[in-house]
Amino acid sequence: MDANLNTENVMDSTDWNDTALPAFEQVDAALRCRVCKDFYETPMITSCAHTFCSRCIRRCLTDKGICPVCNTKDQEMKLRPNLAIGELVDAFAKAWRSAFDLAKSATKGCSVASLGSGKRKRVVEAQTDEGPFKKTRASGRRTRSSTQQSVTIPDSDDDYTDEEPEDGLVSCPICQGRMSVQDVQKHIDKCDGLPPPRKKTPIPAIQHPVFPTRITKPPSKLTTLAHPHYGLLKDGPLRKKLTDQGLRADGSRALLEKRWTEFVIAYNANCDSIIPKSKLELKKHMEKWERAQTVHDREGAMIADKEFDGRAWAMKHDNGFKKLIEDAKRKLTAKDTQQQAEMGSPEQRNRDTMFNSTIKTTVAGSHSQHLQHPQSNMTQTQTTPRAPILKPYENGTLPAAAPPPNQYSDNLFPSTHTHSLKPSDTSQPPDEYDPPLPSQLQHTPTPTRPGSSQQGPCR
Amino acid sequence: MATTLATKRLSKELAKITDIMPDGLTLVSATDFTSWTIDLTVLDANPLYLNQTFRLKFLFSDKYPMEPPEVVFVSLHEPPRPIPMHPHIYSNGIICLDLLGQNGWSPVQNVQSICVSLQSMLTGNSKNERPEGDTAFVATNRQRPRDINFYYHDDKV
Repeated sequence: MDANLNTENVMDSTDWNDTALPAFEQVDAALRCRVCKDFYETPMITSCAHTFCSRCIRRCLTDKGICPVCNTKDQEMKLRPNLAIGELVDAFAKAWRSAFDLAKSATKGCSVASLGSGKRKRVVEAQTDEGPFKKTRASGRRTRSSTQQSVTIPDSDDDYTDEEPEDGLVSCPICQGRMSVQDVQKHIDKCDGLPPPRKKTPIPAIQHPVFPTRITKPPSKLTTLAHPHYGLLKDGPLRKKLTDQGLRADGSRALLEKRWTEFVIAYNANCDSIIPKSKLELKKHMEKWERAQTVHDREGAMIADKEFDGRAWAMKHDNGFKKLIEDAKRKLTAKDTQQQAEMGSPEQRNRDTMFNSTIKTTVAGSHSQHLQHPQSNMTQTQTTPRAPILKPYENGTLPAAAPPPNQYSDNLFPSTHTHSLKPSDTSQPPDEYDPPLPSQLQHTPTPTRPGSSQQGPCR
Repeated sequence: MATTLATKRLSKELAKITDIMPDGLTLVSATDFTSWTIDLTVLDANPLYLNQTFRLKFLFSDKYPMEPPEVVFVSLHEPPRPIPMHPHIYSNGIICLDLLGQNGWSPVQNVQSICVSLQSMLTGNSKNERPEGDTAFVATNRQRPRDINFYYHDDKV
C-alpha cells in the first residue's frame, strides 16, 4: 500500500468512522452527490425524485438521458432545484469542520459529555428524545457507549424536575422562577404565573441556525441555454457561439463541440444556483476544463467518437497505412528527382515547405488544405471530423511510418496526416452524439461497431 | 493536471476503500488514477472457487464516472491468480456483464459496487464452463473490452 496514492487529504464520509461519532458517516454520506461523491452543489431533483449536483445530473442527462440511479428517462428541463437539501448542505458544511475536529479529538467510546460541550450534549439529548428517525441514526452509537445515555441537558424544554438545584436559590411557587429567598415575597406579589425568561441563552445549535438566511426567493430566473443539434450546426456558427461567450474557438470540430457542451452544462448549472457565479468564474471553470483537455488531447481526444479504439484501428489498417505511406514516399521521390533535374537543391527547399505547412495545418486545426499531398481523398478529412488524428502512432503501432509530431522537421513525409489516408475513409456525417445501438449478437463480439459500421476499428 | 471529475471522484473512492473494504476484497495497488488492481475472493463455499483468489484490473478513462471503467480478470503465476471459470467470463479475463457496458453502466456505480457485483456473479454460479465460442474469441479478439458489444441474454446472473 505504500506505493498507493495518498488519500489522507481527501475528505470522505468514512472519515467519521474513526471519530467518536461514527453515526455521522451516514449523515455525511446522505449529503453527498452520488455521481461526484462531493457535497451537493446546487442540488437538483429529477422527476424520479433523485437528487444530484446540478452539473452532475446535467452532464449525465446530456450524455445518456437517464437518471443514474434508477435509469428512468428524464430531461434537463424537468429538473427542479432541491432547496431544502441545499440549505442542509450549506449548514452542514459550515458546521463540519468544528464538529469533525471535536469528534476526532474525542476517542471512540469516550463519553461525549465529558468534553463539556453544550452543543454536543444537546445533540445527544435531542436524538434520544425525538422521533424514530433520529433514533435509528443514533442508536448504533448509543448502544456502544452507555455513558452517553446518561447525559442530561439542563436547559431543554422538558427537563424540569422536582429536584432543587443546589444554587442557593429558591423557586417561586407560581412561576417556578429561581430567585433569592429575600426576593420571593416581593416577587409573589406581582407574579403573573408566566415562567421568567431564561437567563441562559439557548444553544444556537438547536435553534434554527439558518433561519435568518432561509431561502425565500426562488432561484434566479436566468435563461438556460439549450444544447444545439450539432448535426445541423456548421463550424462557423459554432465558433461564433464560442467567441460570443468569450471562449476559445480553436481546435478540432470534436473539441469545439465538447467545449460548447461543457459550457452549456456549466452555464445552466450556474443558472440553477441561488447565488449565481459571475461570468468571470464561469470563464475560470472553462479555463480549468481547457487545461484538463490538453492532457486528454495528447491521448487522442481529437477522436470524436468516444468509443473509437485507436489501437485496434491502427492494427487493422496497419498494412493499409504502410502501403499508402510507401506510395506517398515513392511519389515524392519521383517528384524530387524530377525537380532535381530541373533545379539545384530541391530537397532542402521541399523539406522547409513541408515543415511549414505541417505546422500551419496543425495550428489551424484543419488537416489538409495547405498540403500538397499525393493522396486525392485527403480533402475528405474536412468532412470527417471523426477521423483518428493522432491515435495510430501514439501507441507505437506504426513506429517507423509515423514518428511523433516533434520529429516533423526530420521527416520529409507529412506523417501527421496519415489519418487522412485511411483505406476505407467514408464521408460520414458526424453523429457521435447518437447513442450506440444495442448489439444483436449473442455473447459474441461483433465484427463491427454500431453507428459506424464502415469505420469499425475491429477485425 | 487539472483536477477533473474523474480524479476527484476516484480520490474519494480510494479514500473510502482504503478505509474500509468489504469482505473478500483487497486493494492491491492504486498508484494513479488510471489503473487499480484488486484481489477478490468468493465469500461462500462455492466449490468452483474454493480457496482461490482472483485479480481484477480496473482501467479508468478520464470520462469516469460518466463512462464505465474497463474491468478484466488478470492471471498471474505468483501469487496464483487464475481466471475464474464462469459462463460469462472468457479465458482471457474479459467479463461479459451489462454493468460494465455503455448501456448498463450508471455513474452512481463505483469500484466497490462493481467488485461486489462480480463477487455475487461468481457466488451464484454453478456451471464450470467458459462462454460459448471462448476459444475463437480469445484467439481473434483485438478489441478492448469496452468496444466489444455483448448481447446480454442471461438476466439470471
